[in-house]
Amino acid sequence: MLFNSYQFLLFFPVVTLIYFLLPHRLRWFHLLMASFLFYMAFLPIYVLILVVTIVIDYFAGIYIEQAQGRRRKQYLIISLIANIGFLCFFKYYDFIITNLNDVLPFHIPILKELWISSQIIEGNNAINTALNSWLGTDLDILQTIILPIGLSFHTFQAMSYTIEVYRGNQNAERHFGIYALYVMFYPQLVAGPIERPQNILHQFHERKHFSAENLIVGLRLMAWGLFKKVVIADRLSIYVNLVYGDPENYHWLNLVIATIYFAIQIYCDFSGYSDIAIGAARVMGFDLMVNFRRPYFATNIKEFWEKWHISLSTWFRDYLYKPLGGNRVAFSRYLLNIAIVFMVSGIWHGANWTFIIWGALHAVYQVAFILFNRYATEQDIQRSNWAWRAGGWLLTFLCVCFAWIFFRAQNVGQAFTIIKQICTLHAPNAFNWMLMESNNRTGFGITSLVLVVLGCTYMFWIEKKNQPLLTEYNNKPVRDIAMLAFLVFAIITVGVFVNESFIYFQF
Amino acid sequence: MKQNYILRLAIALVIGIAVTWIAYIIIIDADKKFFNSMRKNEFIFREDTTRYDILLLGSSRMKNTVNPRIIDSMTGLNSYNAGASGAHISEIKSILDAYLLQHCPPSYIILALDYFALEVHHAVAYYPTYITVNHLEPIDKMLRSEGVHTGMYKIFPFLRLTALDDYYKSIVLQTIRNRDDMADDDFLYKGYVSNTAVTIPRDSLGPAQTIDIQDKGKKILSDLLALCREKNIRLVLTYAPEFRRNNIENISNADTILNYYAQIAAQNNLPFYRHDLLPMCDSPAYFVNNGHVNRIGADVYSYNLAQQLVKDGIIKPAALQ
Repeated sequence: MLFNSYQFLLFFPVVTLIYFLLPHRLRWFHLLMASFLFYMAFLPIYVLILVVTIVIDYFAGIYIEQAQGRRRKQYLIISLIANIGFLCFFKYYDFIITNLNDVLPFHIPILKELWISSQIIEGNNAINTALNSWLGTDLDILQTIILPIGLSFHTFQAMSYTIEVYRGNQNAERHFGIYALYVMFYPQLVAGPIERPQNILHQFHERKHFSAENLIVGLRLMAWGLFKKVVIADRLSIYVNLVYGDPENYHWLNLVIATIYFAIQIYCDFSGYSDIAIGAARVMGFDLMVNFRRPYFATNIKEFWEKWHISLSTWFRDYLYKPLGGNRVAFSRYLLNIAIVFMVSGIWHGANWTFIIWGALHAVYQVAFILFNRYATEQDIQRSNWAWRAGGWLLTFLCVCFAWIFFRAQNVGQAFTIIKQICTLHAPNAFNWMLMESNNRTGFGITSLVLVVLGCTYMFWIEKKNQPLLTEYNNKPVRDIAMLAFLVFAIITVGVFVNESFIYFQF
Repeated sequence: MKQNYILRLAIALVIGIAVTWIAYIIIIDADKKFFNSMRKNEFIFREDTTRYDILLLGSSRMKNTVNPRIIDSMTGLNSYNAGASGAHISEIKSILDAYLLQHCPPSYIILALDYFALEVHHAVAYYPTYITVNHLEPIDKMLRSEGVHTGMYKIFPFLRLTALDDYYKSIVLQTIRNRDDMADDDFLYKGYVSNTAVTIPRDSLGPAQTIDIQDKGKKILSDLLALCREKNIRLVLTYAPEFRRNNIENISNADTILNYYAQIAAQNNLPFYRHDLLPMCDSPAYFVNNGHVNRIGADVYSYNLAQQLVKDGIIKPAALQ
């Protein structure tokens, strides 16, 4: 179920209302069933993978806690192998095999070929037909099943549980339903924030009371997230999709603008999702971690990663970077640790060379920044003045945008084509601020441009002046009313509602 | 009110919805004015109840191709072009069903079957066109099958705004300035929109494609034929002109598709005209791209079409009735 759909408009108030009407002992069950419903709205069969990992990690947590010595580690490894195994199988198998097939003299079947060659093709077709008939869809279920929605998110959240139990920072959860809810809690199930058990598990045991303050903070944040998604991100996606869909035929300046637009689009899309998730949880009294802190105001690349997708950055910090030794190792090893973390982060985003290069680019940026920082400190260069900060901001933004080219391109070849066209000022057609489809209706016209400029100005102004949860408005009733009324008006009147999925669902 | 969050929320919602409702009224009024009096292309679904003798149905290759003024002048009858961009048989059938709710059945329907007409992956190609005319049940059904929650519009009409794109929303500004968005030399008449202003800079052929002839598409076409028989409407099937058959040559199963149309026409005793074989199709002067004629091409084609239909005795001119 998408947050920007009418189903959710009905789902959210009904689920929240029932949640507060039910006695505390039944609330976990209600939320769990609601989360199943939410997830199964995409494609019911996906939920089987979740259930399997939930069962494995639930028992793994208990066994890790009860076991002593090497046994603890063995149970942790079993849990990690199960989680990473599912992730690799569904997300990376085809990528690895396709690349191996390019160099090997023989052919290894990819996932779909495995299904087909497994002598149950007739059965598969029957399953396909039966599922389609049941769902009322016309999908190739075998194709669709290959990458379940949000797999990387709930896998990482599940892994963080068993690791924390192993480290002794978290007691194993004995209540199976509560543990299942920890993995499946619908607001953050498919695109985060990736929670830690210490932050969220105990909240499911607590008796939550209805709070008008939580209601207004949560709804305000949900409206803000929806505004970013439907007024800005989905409108920008029209331009970005047109240019990145056929980059060879666009003016180099169109490519530059499309890349900047994508930088804003992905921020509004993903941070918008996080805002809605945090807001929806907040209405019911749950506190989720903040995922974005104005990343595009960062004046260096290190700061950018402290503000962008914080739940993932801190996950990698806690469960990969620190175990590798962090910065408490030789300087060269420290740089290598940084590079490893960003490379893995790239792979986490998707099984494609474009994501790996994107991660590698950020690794290079980080290493370059650390080296420069070291040099500047040695040379006692003052970097706190206005010019340094402005230059740092511009350089950081340009570097991030350059990396986004790889993130957005369909393949590495296309990314290099775009870079080449920009560098050579290639202009096969005239530059145009507006891009219209041939029927002269759909597209990115003057209205879209004006709305994007106004929307972005408003968004950056509000986010610059306020904390991520916008709680300052609690003490400013008139401004709060004006803002909420404006958001309702803007979302309905100038929002783009074509049920565009959120970009990070694919991960 | 500082700590009364519920009151604050209620006030914000009331103001937000009230302002949105006002915006909705302004936008929808402008939209109606634009399409009723300036464009006239969704006219038949609004206040219009005129009985048209000839109804022209099809995709953009009907909408931008047949000029009712020429058809009317050649036949002395009253025609209307109800073609819709990208429409395949499902959308065409919905248009006909909705038309028949507001109008008496026409004497003739000229149906331009495109090569993709029976490949029905979506019920409608561009649903914002129909958002403001969903009071007609077939249109409402078509929108619902596309996942548009028209039921919500009955409770909160202003939510229609969420289904309109920037083009529709910008219409209000043009209407206030009393301007259309067509070029000066463009021509609009009874649903027909000339193609002069639309220029596609590159129109190279993509890779050859195979078009699916779906059972669902066949069924809808069959229902449409049955409806015409039931309403005593004389149906004429055509395949619209295209530049040097570039579109159809790029379809790997073109022969199967066209043979199927011919077979359906023969089985139902209907005329089927292959206008991709007309001599005019060799002249670039008549086309804006491979699949669409320009304004001059549309006039030439409309003249030829009317002349052929009269000559073959399919349409009886008013003077002879």
